[in-house]
Amino acid sequence: MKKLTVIAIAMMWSVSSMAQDNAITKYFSKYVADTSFTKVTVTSKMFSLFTEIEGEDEAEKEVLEALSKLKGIKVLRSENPTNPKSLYMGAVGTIDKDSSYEELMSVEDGDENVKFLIRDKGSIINELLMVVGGKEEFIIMSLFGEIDLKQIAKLSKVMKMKGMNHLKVLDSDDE
Amino acid sequence: MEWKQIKQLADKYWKAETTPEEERELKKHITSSYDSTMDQREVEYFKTLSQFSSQKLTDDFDDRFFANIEKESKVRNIYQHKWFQLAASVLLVLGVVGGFEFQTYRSEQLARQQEAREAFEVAKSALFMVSEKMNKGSQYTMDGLSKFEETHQKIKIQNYNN
Repeated sequence: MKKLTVIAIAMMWSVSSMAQDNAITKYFSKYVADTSFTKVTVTSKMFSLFTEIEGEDEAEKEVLEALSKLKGIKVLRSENPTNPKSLYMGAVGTIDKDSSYEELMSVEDGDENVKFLIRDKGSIINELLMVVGGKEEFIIMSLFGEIDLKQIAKLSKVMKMKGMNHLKVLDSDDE
Repeated sequence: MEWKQIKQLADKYWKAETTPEEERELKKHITSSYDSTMDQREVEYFKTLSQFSSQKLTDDFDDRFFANIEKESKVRNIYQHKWFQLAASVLLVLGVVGGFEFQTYRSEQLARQQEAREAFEVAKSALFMVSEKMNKGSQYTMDGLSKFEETHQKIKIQNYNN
């Protein structure tokens, strides 16, 4: 019981200490309260537990490597929102007002709009924010900590070689 | 005493018909006289018997005897001491609690690993999603660049032709 309390306090402390570290807590907390959104949060406390995991294959080892410097991941995802396009425009508009975010890349084709933004300090990228507005879904994802873009870009190549169904977990209805 | 008499006494002895006096006689004479017709094992037997009966308790036998008993009871007393019983019960309780704690620790550890695994799967999917979208963007950029390159080449060729 005492142990549990200590862990709870440690988790609360780590959550509060990084509260302003990412755009989702900063700008999109209104969506966090929205029940139509799927929220996924992986905290730094959880990352520290990943040391107990051994990568089962090449792809997992790459993922562990990419995760090793991250402090947290936050995902907000809404399936079949009434107007994904306006959600996307709204989110991008909100972020554009914050000058600490720079646009890294944006793709707008018939199917979906994707925008990548980064917040950096010197040569280190502290946050990678991805906003996706598709026909049937709207996603905001924030990776924060220390981001290695090359490492992350590499992942999908490893994954393609393995032919993995990478979206399996996020597609299922998990909180 | 003739060896014949000795032999008779011995036979009587084995039939358990001798009196204590006769037995004493037999033990006394069988060791002193020697006859090859007598069974050597029989002679040895009676010799040993007479040696036994010649052994006497020394004076300090009682003291040594009781000293031994004292020593043994001292050993037993250790087990009867309060502190020994206390130590034993503490050890027992420690063992039980320790075993229980270890079980709890193991199951907690397993739960933690399970939790970490699940979170890892989520984190993995998230990263893969970002990675894929990012590469999709790069793909467009590559396509765009190659189209630009193509157009550029065309323009160059046209210019050249003019």
